[in-house]
Amino acid sequence: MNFQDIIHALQTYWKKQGCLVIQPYDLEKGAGTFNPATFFGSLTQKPANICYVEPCRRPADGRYGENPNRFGKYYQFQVIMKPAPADIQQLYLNSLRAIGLDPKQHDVRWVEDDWQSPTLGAGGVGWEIWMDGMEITQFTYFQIMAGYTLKSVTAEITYGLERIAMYSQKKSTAMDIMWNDKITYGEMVKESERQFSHYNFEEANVENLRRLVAENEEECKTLCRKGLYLPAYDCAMRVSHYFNTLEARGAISVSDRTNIIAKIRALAKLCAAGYIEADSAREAGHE
Amino acid sequence: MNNALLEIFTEHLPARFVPPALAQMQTLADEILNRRNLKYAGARAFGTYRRLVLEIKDLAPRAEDTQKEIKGPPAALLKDGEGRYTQQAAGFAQKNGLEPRDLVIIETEKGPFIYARVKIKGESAAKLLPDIFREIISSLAFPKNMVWEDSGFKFARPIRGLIGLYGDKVVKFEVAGVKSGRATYPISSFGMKPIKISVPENYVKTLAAQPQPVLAEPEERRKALLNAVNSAAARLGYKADLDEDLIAETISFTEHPVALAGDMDIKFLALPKELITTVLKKQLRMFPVLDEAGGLQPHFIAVRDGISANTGEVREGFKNVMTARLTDAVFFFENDLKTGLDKMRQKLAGVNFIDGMGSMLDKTERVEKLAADIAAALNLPADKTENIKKAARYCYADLASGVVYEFPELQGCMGAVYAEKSGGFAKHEARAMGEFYLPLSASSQLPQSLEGAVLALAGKMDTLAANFTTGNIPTGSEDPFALRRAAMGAVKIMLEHNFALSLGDIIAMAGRRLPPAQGSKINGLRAFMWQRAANIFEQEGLAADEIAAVEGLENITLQRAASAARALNAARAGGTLAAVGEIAKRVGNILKKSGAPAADIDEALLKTEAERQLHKTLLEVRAAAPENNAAPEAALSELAKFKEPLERFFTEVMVNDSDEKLKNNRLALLGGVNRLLTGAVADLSKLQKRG
Repeated sequence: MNFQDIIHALQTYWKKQGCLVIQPYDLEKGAGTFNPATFFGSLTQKPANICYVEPCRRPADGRYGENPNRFGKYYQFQVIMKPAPADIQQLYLNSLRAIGLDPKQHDVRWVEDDWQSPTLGAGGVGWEIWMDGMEITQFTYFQIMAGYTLKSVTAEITYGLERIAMYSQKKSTAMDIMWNDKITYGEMVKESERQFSHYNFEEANVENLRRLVAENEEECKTLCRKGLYLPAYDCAMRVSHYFNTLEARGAISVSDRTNIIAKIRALAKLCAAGYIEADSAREAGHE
Repeated sequence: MNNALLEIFTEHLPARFVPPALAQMQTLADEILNRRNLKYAGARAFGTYRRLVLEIKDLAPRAEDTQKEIKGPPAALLKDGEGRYTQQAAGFAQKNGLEPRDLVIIETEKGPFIYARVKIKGESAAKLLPDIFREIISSLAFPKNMVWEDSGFKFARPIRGLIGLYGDKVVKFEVAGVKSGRATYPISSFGMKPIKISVPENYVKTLAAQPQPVLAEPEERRKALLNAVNSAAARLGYKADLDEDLIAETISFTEHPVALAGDMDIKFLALPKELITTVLKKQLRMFPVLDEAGGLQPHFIAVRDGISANTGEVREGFKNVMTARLTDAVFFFENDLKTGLDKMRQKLAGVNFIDGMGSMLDKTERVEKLAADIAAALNLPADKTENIKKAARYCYADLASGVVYEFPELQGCMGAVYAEKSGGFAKHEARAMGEFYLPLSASSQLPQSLEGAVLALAGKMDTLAANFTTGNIPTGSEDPFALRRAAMGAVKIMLEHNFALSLGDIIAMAGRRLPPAQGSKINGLRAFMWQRAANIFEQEGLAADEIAAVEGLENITLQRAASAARALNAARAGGTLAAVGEIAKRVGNILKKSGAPAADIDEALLKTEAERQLHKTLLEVRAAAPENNAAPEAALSELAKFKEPLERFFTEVMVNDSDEKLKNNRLALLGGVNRLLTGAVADLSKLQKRG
């Protein structure tokens, strides 16, 4: 199955399971979990069933398009279901069937792997899922988000789309994946990988980035004070991305790193608090 | 009698949680059934990472009847003056369903009271089991728990099914929204079609008879795994590297282990063997394949869960993953060789050790100096000292290597490989670098070479001294810097290699190299290290008092402390030693009470024969210098010579004479004896009487 068909098949499958199919969020982020749909969606007891493709940027992982398996930008397919249905593991296994990988024909293993994000102040319990030894999915039951212990538990399924496509197309590198039947993944991303690696490792203006970190941090706090937690959270995401770029640029010392991560965590918590407050006010309004 | 069965069917538990959970289940079952007075022939827990199962054999249909004593009015109210039961007594008896004549009188702290002895009929097992099963489930403790549904129940992973059976009847109960029944389910990739269990004794059989068999018993999975891996290796003409950790993990990580052998590109064999086996075992959970001599072969044996078709594709998948991982390893390894140990060592300047104790490069420099200090204290020849210093200079360099970054467990080992490959190191130097982190665990190998032992000791002592000085002292179960292991390693090395160093010596040496230099003592470190030594001696079979008797002799080497404690243990059988010990205690007590300042003995004041005899013995024993006697057994028999003169002294002589001069002279005499009894070989006063 080619890359775009895999995405299409996953969307179709999860749509049938009652998920809202949404589009990627239009800001840089390190992982699909940062998408507001997941971040805010997991916080309260309101049900949430959503799926989406999310491009993820990890500036430090770029290799100028020269390493066939490492990229500064790649794609995740993300599913969240809250409350987590009791048959969620089987729903996942059936989704593999939907993309042509029958679990009965392969060795599917659930390997203990508890996920944590110090930047989001989040953590969960779960597995990385191996197919014939290759990690293809991260499966997590969120326990904490933005420092809040969650009463209603979200199951988050994150498919590594390149890994799955490599496996299903029997390609030894991600560059060789067929995006459709004519064009390879490599052709699609190689030039962008080259340019962004240059930018992230050599050209990114450190002074500007530091200034942007400071400005967005301030703006996030100001907006939170005004109850505008959605644009505030955009600022927090920007801080996180600029920080990742600074790190790729080699401009972050060990103590810097701890400090900035703590700052982003505090911002995420402010935004979450705003959301929870507004949500309970809305609930009260309904009664 | 009927058997009972509990199955907790969960999503995949972490493999490492399974064996402890099963052990707890067994203990809990015994504890709870006994508390509930339910008789049974035996309980056993078994299962997989998806089902924790408890089987109770021959569970009695009812709990045993029990008796309860109910307190009534004071005994005086039992009968009236005419010997008839009082109204109160009769009423109390009636209330408890007894005749007045069945009442008994029991003495209490508050005087005698009337008691009713009431029989309590045991409840039926069927009625008790729901509670018992629920209690077992909620009492299981895991290293980490989670919640997954709205009731907030905590368990290691979500519970998705429960079986409760007593004979052919379902034991009905509910946990975390899951209702019990008689259904279990297949291996996870094979759906959730219920598998009905008729009676407890059919559980294992029923699962084994599925189209996708589940081997519910860990021993059966172990057999199946060994069988599968060994035959796969035999088909290749070799044997498998049967790593016990990997075997244990695999049987807790499969419900039906099936082996799958494949080939490895021969080019990977250029990598160090330890690197390949670490990639295979740790990253991929695969068994390496070896020839008779232990040489690594270009094959792998993977384990999959459950039999299924499509073996060719699955094998290909495993091989691709292995190839990708080994390709990464080659990349890191070749990069490291290009970088070289010198550059890696320089990178350590940017790696913090612990706050206040500089970088890892600073630590490296301290270890080099400390290793040289130790070599000097041991009078090692100059060439060996040079070898040790050279190895020390690079002992932490591999921490900055790509391979160790990816595989921290290869620290030391990779340093040795890079040293060998560089050509700039003597064989002993590379070997010492490879032994630097040994011993890795309580049971693992110690450094075998002298150079490795000195270097490993220096590294551990610097870690201990630096952490204790900055206040990182382990408390309770918290030991984030693994200082207990470091101390245990240091003690074992000194003992094994017979280093002529006391704990005080080695601590002082390490302290001197710290920034800022510490005095000869570091708070708490000697006691901490002594505790590790004491553990080793205890394991060897020495008694606590024998170990305590040598603890206080601060200036003796660990080896001497060990041999003295062993000599005490051996000499004990004779009985003389125990007697001397008792007298030593008495001497000590007298001296402590008197508080007299140490004085010289005036021979002219030795009035009685008993005093003179004790004095003569003191001079003889002192002349024999038992503290210098290399054989502590012989030194102890010297000390045993005090037994008779001391016994006679205490029979015939009053220490507390009214003549102050006589009294002080006697105390001085006892003081001289005491110094030998408590300080020459061991503190004999610490020995406890044996029954």
